[in-house]
Amino acid sequence: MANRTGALEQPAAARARAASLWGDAWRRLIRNRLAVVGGVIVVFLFFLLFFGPLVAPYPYQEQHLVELVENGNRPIGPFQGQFLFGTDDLGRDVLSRLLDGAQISMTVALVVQAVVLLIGLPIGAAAAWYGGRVDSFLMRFTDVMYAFPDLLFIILLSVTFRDTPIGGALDGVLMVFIAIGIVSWVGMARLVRGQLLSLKETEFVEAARAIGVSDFRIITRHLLPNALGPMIVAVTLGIPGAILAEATLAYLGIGAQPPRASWGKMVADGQQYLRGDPHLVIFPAIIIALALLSFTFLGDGLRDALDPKLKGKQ
Amino acid sequence: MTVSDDRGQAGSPTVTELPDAVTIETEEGRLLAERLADDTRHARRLLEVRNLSTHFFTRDGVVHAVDDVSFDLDYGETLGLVGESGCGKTVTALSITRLIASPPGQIVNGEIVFDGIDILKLSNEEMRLLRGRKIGFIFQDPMTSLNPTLPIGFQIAESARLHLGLSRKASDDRAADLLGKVGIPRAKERMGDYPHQFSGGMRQRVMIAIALACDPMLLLADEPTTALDVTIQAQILELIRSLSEEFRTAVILITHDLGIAAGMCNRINVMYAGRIVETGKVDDIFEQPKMPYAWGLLDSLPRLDEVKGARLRTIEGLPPDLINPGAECRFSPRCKYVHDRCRVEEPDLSPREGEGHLARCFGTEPGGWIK
Amino acid sequence: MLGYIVRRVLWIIPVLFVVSIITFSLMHAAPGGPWSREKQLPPATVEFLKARFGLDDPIHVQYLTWVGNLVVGDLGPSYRQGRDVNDIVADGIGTTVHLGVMAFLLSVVVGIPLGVIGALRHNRIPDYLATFISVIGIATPSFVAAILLLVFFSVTLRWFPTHGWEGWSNPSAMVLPTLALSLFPIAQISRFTRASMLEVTRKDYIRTAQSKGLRERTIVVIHMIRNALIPVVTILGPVLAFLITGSFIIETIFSVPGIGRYYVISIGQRDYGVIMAMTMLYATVIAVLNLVVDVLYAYIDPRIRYS
Repeated sequence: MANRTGALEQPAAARARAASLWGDAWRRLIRNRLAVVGGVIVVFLFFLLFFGPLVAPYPYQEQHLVELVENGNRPIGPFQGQFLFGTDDLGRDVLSRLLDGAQISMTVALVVQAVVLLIGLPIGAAAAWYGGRVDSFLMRFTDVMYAFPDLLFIILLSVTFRDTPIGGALDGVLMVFIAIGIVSWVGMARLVRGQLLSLKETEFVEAARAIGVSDFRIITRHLLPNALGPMIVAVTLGIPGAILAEATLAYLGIGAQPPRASWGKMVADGQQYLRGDPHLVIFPAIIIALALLSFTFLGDGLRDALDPKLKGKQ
Repeated sequence: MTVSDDRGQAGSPTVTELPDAVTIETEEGRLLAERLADDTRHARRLLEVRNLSTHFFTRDGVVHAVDDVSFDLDYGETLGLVGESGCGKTVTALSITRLIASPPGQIVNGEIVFDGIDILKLSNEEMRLLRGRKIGFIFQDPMTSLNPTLPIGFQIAESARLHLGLSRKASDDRAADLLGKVGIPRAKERMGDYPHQFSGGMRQRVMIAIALACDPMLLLADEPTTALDVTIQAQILELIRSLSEEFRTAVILITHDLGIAAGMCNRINVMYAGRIVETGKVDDIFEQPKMPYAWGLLDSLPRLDEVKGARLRTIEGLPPDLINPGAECRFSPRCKYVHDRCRVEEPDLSPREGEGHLARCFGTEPGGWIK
Repeated sequence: MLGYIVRRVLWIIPVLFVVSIITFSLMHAAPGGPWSREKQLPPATVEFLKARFGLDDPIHVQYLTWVGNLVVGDLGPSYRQGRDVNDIVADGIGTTVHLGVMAFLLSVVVGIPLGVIGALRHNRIPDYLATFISVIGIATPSFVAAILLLVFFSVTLRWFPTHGWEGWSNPSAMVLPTLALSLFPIAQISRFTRASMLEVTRKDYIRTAQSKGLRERTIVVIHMIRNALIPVVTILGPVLAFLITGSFIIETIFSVPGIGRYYVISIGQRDYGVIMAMTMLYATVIAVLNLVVDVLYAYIDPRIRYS
């Protein structure tokens, strides 16, 4: 058993290495500094998702009118007094609102990916496994979805349901989940289908069938675990897209309704004050960038770490 | 050996017309530039490798892929480098043409003299002049070794145009000619075809045409038939043999298959764990091998006169880790004839019966314990 | 090859058909009509308006009329602006296309070399620089980029105007919108190109090229780049789609008089006529562009062209 550099291993050492492919991937991931930094920020964002409101200095919608008036009815700047990042034009604390926005964005990201997996995975698996009509149908359907530009469709859906009860649920955020989810599951279905198709033809699947293992078991026990790597990467890399979509929608006025503080909405509200109070745009922009970058770097790192071509190599 | 006229425009770049204005930086380079002007032989032997050591510096340690390897090659001779996977034969060939990936690999020691020129002293640019022009390489996997987006005619003509200074038409003619010589039917029409339009065996023939495009003095063939069907293997080997004979090209044939080596080579180097463990004329190696590893290799070949149902014979154990090779004989953990001395000291290559027949084994030395 | 092209062209028709059904259904499923949000109009007026626009016909009649009109190029009326959508589009489409094409060219001309250089000078300074630029591109939503560029270069430094796109008669007004729109595509293209180049560098046929003694420049240009760029063509489709949808926002922020701006306005106004028509327009354009990209890809990859 030789690896690329020509080094040859003692049998026991070779066995030990094979046993920890995931360990291998983990070690490779750790070595990637960008991915680690991204991972840390992601963990931090998750923390904010659950504990944001507890950590926030003020309720996000509370207007500090007294301080606002004292400041000449203008937004209060950052790093000056009690408001670390200043306030907006309505006297609301920017930091607390950023934390609320973090909750919104992280929820969108997670829920969307959950929807994507719940719908995309079974459909993709079914298409790959049963082939024939199911597969054709999926492929045609996804072709149509591809023709429809994502943002366009999301906007369309949002506009349609804007005034319905769903549109109002969860301060308008539920509708955004659904819309983004509907558009995104297609990619996952295709990915799963692709992965399973290439694995389906392998001999160990033939063997399992010959023994009489049920279809469901083959799919869940044998095929899906092999496809797990690319799926994890796809989910991680799909999150920046979801966050971006939500922010863009909020900027356009669709989705989270005031007084909720989606980052996109904060940018939209703050743009008119850019001349004198740039902090209203800069801080949301920074945290958006951090969120997008952290998931992207983590996703890139995961992809490199889990790359099957690199398995077993240094 | 000269470039004959019937293959297209004769002529090679002179010192003042080197391709791409390569600047001559070293003494060896100056020598090389003169040599490139013609194809006559300038030294006693085509290739003299002395104490070549190529190591790979990895995170886990330094891999001694090739350790203190020395051998010669005559003009027009076919030499076999035989051994199992990982023994260093490919790295040796890549070292000769200096294609070792430089991190992490490096030629740490040794001397390689090609046609009288010390290759290791050439600059990178100067070495480039040699590649393709005087040294051709055939790689193992024809499916991935050809550029999928360029027509094969172009890939063959490329080096002729660069190294021989041929015009587009002349180099294309030459390429078509070579394509025919390597056995591609309707060669001229197929010049514009792409690699995916050829089968594996045909692609390997294209590789051979590429390697021979500039009529090199040395052909390095790295397991040229391993990736092919058995029936095609024989054809490809025969092709290599007849072409090298016709153009008097020396060949270093790398293989793990002794049968192939027996049919093609004048001499054989048996390699193990980065070292040459036995060398000699092909008859000597096959009829009176003097190293237990060689015996193991020969013994493991299935024979036509086998008793049916008998088990295949293997060499027990696995090759050693090349990261920190010790001072003992590297084959000793697997050797049936091992003695205490073998576990402590490594034998040198010492002479046996037969011209140029050397083996690295205490036991088979005159006065040793193996008869 | 020809068969492939024909099949792909024919395929667009059912796709657009389904898109039209979805669009139509969604717009008509939305509660409230085009006139329900603003000051309450008397019911009689609403009835009148509905009749005038044919909105009181049965649904399937409305649909068929609409599709029928679309096919002959009639995009229908705008319910709120008193004009036909065709007029609105005619006014602005030139501008939007101009902006889109410029942004596309900029993305490709900057993105691809950036990716190539990054791969060739892997893990050295040029790579870090290229990566830095692409990182900024993916981290910054287009609206943020637009706003920041606007404030910094236009308001503060006054190098460029804040609005007033007039095409080539006012070149400096084109700079910021084009830049803002192309930031993300530059990042995507350069990242993808870099990854593709790196993969090509490790391929066996590159080693073959080296064994022939070719110049490094020859190997990079003739052997590496063409193989690396072929996969890059596949992301041009999504890039074009992004440029089209991204133009809404950029046009709004920079007051560029294109059709994207109208689209955003009609969303706010619930002008379903415009929304439906322009959605179909966008979908058609994107479908055609995707087709062009697919055909281009099949053409430049010899493995597909000659099979």
